[in-house]
Amino acid sequence: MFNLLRKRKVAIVASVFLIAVLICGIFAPLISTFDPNETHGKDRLSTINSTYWLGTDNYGRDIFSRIIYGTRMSLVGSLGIVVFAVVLGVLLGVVAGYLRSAQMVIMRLADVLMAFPPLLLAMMLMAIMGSGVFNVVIAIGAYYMTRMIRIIYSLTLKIKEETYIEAMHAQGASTLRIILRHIVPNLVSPIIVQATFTFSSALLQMAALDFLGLGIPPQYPTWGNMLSEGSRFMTRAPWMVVIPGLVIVLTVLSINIMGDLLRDNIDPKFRDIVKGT
Amino acid sequence: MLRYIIKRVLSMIPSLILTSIMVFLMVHLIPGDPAITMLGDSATEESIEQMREEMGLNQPLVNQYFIWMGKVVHGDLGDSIFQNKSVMATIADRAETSVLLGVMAMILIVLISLPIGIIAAVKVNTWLDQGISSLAMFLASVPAFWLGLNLMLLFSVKLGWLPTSGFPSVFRSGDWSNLRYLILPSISIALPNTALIIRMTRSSMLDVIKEDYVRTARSKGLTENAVYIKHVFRNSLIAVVSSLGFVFASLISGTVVTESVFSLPGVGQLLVSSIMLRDYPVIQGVILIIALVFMIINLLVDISYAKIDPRIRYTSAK
Repeated sequence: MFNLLRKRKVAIVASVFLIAVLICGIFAPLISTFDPNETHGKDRLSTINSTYWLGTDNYGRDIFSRIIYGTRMSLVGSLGIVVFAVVLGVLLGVVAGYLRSAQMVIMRLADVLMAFPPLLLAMMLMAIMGSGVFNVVIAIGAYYMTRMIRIIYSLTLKIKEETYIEAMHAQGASTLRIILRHIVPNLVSPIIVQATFTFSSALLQMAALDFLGLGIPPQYPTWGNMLSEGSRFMTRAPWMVVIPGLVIVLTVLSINIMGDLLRDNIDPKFRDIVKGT
Repeated sequence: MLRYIIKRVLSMIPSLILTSIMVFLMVHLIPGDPAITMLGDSATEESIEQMREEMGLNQPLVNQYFIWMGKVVHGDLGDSIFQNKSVMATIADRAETSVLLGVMAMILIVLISLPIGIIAAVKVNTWLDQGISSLAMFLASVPAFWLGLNLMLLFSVKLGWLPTSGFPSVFRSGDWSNLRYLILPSISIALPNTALIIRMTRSSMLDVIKEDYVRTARSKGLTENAVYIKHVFRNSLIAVVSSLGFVFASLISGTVVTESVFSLPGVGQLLVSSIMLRDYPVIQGVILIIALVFMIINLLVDISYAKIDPRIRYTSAK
């Protein structure tokens, strides 16, 4: 990993930025200058100044502190989506790839979920489940789970043909043992690559859902719902829109840079499958 | 070719059925009486009773599905709770904006990304190529709605060149200059989506350049331009077309969000407001229609893909 970083200078910048974002999220109460939900009636929509580093919003809340606290929800939410997608995606993908009987059901289900564009699927699930942090994770995670199922499924089919799996069969190893000890460990690096890209696009999807007012409940500041509120006061307070958006762009960009680095160094055997989806 | 099309259309049927089941179940998955879900909280006792009868709520779920499906295939998606109209009419009113917006965005995506992708491939491994791939990566990280807000700030608020929001119908007024309302929205949908096609064009051109027939074309004395345009670009289009399905998916997502940014009276905004108002008949209808459109688009992509590249037809006809 260290050697990889040295080869690509941008990746160093990206990883430093990501570490900074992570620190902001973890130590939000120490770093922020105000309580994110504290209103300052006198200082509504004030510009960037020494008290309010990035200005204030329509209720006079400090934008800098809200961005710092927003990091938490954005990171935790995206991480939740990644965990959801990876755990269920790998489980269902391996089972579908390894067991013929399960393949039909799981892959059909995946096809149906893929029949909806990702944001639409998320909106539909939100309409059914109602708002809430967990529901957002499931609603967005459903699509990425499906993508993960497809990738893991085709990788498992490929690995299944390898001679060493056949050898394990001949030795009389159980299906569970073959899956856990011999197939899953071989999938780790493509999973990491896919998880990285899932993280960045989940962040974007979550911001879109928050922007539409269908995502994380408004009492938690997120980068997405800050943009949503900001858009109503945009002409008077452009910083309410420009700054949270920039934070999203830089974070997503940094994660994608890291993802690219990981993908370019993955086992060539898997590269086509990971790239193709 | 006909055989391939028939096969491909038939393969859609299971997905269609499963999708319709999912949309049907939506109303039943929401906690509470489905009849009240479909009528809203202000419904009278009589109308609820009537709705129960209509939906067949006292029959088994399977029968309810067939009752619902029978109406859907006749174009009856129920009535909106909040607007005094059928769901079909509500969606039809909004379709123009979304379709025009989607088409304009798609045209922009092709016009922007193909030439840039070609340049990157021709000038491979130069600073220009690297600059383009960095740019593509940046664009892919920008949320469409944020780009829209910034474009609005710059071109509508600051410079006053283009209208900020709304969209008066082109077909009802016959005034095509109304399309200017869609310029900024379509740019903000298009730019983040160019990244994928730029990368696809570049890498597939680079793959084709290695082929024997390109060497032949060069050795028979064709100019570099002729080689690139006639042989390399045409063949690399195949790979580009195959990625269009993905682009359409994010095009639809982009349209939904961007309509909200620019307050365009489209299907996407209808969906967002219906979810807020819990207008379930409309939500159900919009989702069903968009899923259907998306499936048909994917069908067309696959067919044109097979048309351009005969190899696909043969392998899947086996």
